Amino acid sequence: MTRAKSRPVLFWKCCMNSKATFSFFAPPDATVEADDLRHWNKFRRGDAASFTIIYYHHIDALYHYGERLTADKALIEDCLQDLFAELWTRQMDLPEVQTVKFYLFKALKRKINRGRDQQAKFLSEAAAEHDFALTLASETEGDDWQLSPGQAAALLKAVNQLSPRQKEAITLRFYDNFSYNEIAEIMALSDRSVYNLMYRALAVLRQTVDVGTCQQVLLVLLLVQ
Amino acid sequence: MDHDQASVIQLLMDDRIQAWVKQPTPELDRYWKERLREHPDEQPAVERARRVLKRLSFEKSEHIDREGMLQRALAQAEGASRPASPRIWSNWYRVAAVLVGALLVAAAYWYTLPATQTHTTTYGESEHVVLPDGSTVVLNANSTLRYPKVWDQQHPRTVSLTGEAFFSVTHQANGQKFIVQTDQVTIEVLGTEFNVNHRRGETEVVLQTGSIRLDRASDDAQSQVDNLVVVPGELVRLSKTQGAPERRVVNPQVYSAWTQDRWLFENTPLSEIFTMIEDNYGYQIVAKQADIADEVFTAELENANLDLLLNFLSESFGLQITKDHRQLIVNRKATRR
Repeated sequence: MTRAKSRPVLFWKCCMNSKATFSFFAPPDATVEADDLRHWNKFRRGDAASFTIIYYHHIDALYHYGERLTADKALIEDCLQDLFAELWTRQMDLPEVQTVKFYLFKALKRKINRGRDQQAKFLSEAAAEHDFALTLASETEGDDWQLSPGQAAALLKAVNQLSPRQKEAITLRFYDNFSYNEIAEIMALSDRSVYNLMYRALAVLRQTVDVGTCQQVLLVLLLVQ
Repeated sequence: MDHDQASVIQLLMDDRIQAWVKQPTPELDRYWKERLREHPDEQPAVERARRVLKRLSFEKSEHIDREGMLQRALAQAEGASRPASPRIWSNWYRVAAVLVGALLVAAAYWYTLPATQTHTTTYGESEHVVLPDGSTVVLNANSTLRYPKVWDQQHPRTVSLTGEAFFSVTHQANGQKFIVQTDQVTIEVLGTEFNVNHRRGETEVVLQTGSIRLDRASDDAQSQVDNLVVVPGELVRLSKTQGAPERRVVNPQVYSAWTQDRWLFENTPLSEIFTMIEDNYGYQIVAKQADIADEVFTAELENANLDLLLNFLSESFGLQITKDHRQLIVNRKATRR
């Protein structure tokens, strides 16, 4: 999957005297990803220090993703240790990647699933889908769209009634900013399935509108769809 | 109603909208304008909806044992039967042997490997380092940062630096100090952001936020730096020749812009810019006319790139800048614009 690269925008004001003033902008996201990739490739070529950088850059996001997949903290820690132990050992055998975060998320999910399946076998129970509660982050960046407590509660109620897989897809999309085919690979589904999951999730939210009574709730859910 | 809402969902789900907002291109611009023409009233709703969805979050642990997991991961890897370490060593030596003078660096690195972590940058390169306590360091070109791999709570956190770096130091609850060591001065901080430039036998420290204390390095008997407390917005400069430090108030952003791959020049004389280029890119600058270096430059450049900077300098001042091996020759053009 290729990401569109933007042409930088250049402003230059001509000045009559020897002083010159101008600005030159580039997209910030691309820099973070490029940085990540640089360290990944440095590590693959033998730079041990880049390993630590990659670790600290991603450990929080990975751990929080683990929490969405299982309530078992020990399992999350074990899988993360396993994951990074493997990275360290494989070092020069590691593949080239497009996005480091995507590679790590995929690997973690596979490990946690295997761990949960093994536990289930041991307990001779089916591995239950782990559910997690969605909340709303506090308002940032001067949002002109302020939710009242009532609206927020109604929104969260609707969103938390989604299935665990729908929640996972939504969170991977809007919280972790993965693309549809990245989500598909992480969740081991086809692109089409992910698309349908998302569509159904957003449609369910729209449907809740018919059940709601308060006009403000209606407004919120209409806009959320 | 159904069709409209379906289309809103479609718009909301469109990857290209996300891409357009993050990184606009002419193609995406056109695509988005087309879609909007089909559904003119929907953009505000979709924008608001996306912003609400972006605020979706979930219960997260605050306490993650990062160091513990890392240590156990490495222990687990080292305990494995595959002999990973020798392969890393041989590859490192192969790479190092190609670089001039790097054999010494490699030897020093491996000698200190058990206890010390070393980061070195070459000309034109910068690096982000995250320290074991969560502090971050942006290491500029042609610089080296060294620190012990294992940090405990009892001793001050210590790093040593040659070259230039921007520090963002975390505040520890137990008041554990953070010390930056150069061979000229010792910088002691509690939790703060500052830039240290130690090149050509001079050290320049610019404090952005917080507070730091400067002391002479133990082996610099001539220095008059003793328990010097620095405040935000202050620049302290120590030269090899003068024992007394020079202090003045500056805009700290000018001195830390490089960490964001930006250059910020505010009435900066070209002499300073040339020095910066020499230090960070390894060129030797030869200005054919003496008054070139006195010109002042004001600019803000993102996505710092040497060729671009040289381009703008030559356009702004009517200069001709030619590369000759490791030299940059700067000449005034015959006719000014």
